Amino acid sequence: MATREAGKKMIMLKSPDGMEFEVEEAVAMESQTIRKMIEDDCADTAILIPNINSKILSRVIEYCNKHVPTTGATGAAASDTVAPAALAEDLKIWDAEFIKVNRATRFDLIQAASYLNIKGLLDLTSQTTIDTISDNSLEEIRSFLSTKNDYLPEEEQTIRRENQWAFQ
Amino acid sequence: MENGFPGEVLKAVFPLLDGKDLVFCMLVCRQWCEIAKDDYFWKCICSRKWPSICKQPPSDTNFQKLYLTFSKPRKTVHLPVPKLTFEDLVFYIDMWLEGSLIFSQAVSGCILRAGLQNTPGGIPDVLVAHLNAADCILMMEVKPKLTVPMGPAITVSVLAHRKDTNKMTCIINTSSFDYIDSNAARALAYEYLRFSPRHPFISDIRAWMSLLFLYKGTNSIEVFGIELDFCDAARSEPEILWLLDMLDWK
Repeated sequence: MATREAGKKMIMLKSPDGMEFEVEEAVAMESQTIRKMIEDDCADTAILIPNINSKILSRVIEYCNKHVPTTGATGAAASDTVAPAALAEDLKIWDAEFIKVNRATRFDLIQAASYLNIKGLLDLTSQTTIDTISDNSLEEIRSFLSTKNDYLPEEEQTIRRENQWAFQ
Repeated sequence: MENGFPGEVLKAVFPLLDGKDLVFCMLVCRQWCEIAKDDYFWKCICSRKWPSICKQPPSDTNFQKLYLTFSKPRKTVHLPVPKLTFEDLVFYIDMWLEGSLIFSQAVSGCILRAGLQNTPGGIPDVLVAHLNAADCILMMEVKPKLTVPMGPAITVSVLAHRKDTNKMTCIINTSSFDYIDSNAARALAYEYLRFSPRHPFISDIRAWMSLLFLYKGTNSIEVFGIELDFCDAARSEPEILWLLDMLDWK
């Protein structure tokens, strides 16, 4: 609980495009990468997050805000009175809404979650992509994910033959 | 990247896929295939399928190979070319009716393999279908046709000789045509095969001898052909030759 009290300490996150986001330390520490920086005293007051633009960073912070444990999160004061199961259910619904983004944004979120090492967000974003891959034909995967088939026809035939069992 | 798919995303997603889906992903395009070749992903898959393997993997384990080898459904194995050929074989077939000899021939494997040259008219459709089936392989005509009365037991014995090793084996000792398939106009006799001691775990495979016949009135039949098969285990020519090769040749 001491952390929660200390958690009032604010951290400044800077995106490469110059935007600054002030967040509670506890929220920032949802990212294992940032946690490590803070614990190693590599971060004073401002941390530059490379590769993640302000649009994505703001969404990542939104996610962390919602997922920071217990009542520490801003605007979640009411959750004190809610049963944990209901809270989890509530989070699930929130996640489902959160992930309703276009493909490019989802990929950016995966990369951000991967770099910042936020397991929950990485699982959420990756799972959505996996659902696109599973149970779909090759052509559907290519079209959903705008990926071009660059195999030569003979090459594709060979690989298909070798892996025929995966198609059954 | 022009492809619109950052490799980093795949590296985050691939560890969560099951093996079949990862194989699928390899077929999407070259970039995906390159990334999916990383054995790390296959290790993730193997560690879910066989968690204990990661506790003590054999040195130099290739997890992709490991997964693919034991996850693919087993293909029907193409038998290697058998050592034994029908040219090497002679079958000694003898049949008795109530103790008196009615048929006695030494038949080369090639004759049996050649099958029936012509089938008499008037045989049931079921038998025609059987004779045309792909697994109906070893047959010969009985000339002249044998007319035998219904009722008394007909027994058969079959020995075989192989020229390559100059050895003999017993295929059917003495067995009677107890079972009459009247729809197909066939009478069947069988005997369990005796295998070489080098194949100790094989059992319950029979040699079947069939008489192919036409009904002649109500009391007798006219046998026009005989058929030998091993349908419990061997239904193609190489299978039959491999099976025969495994018998107890003396």
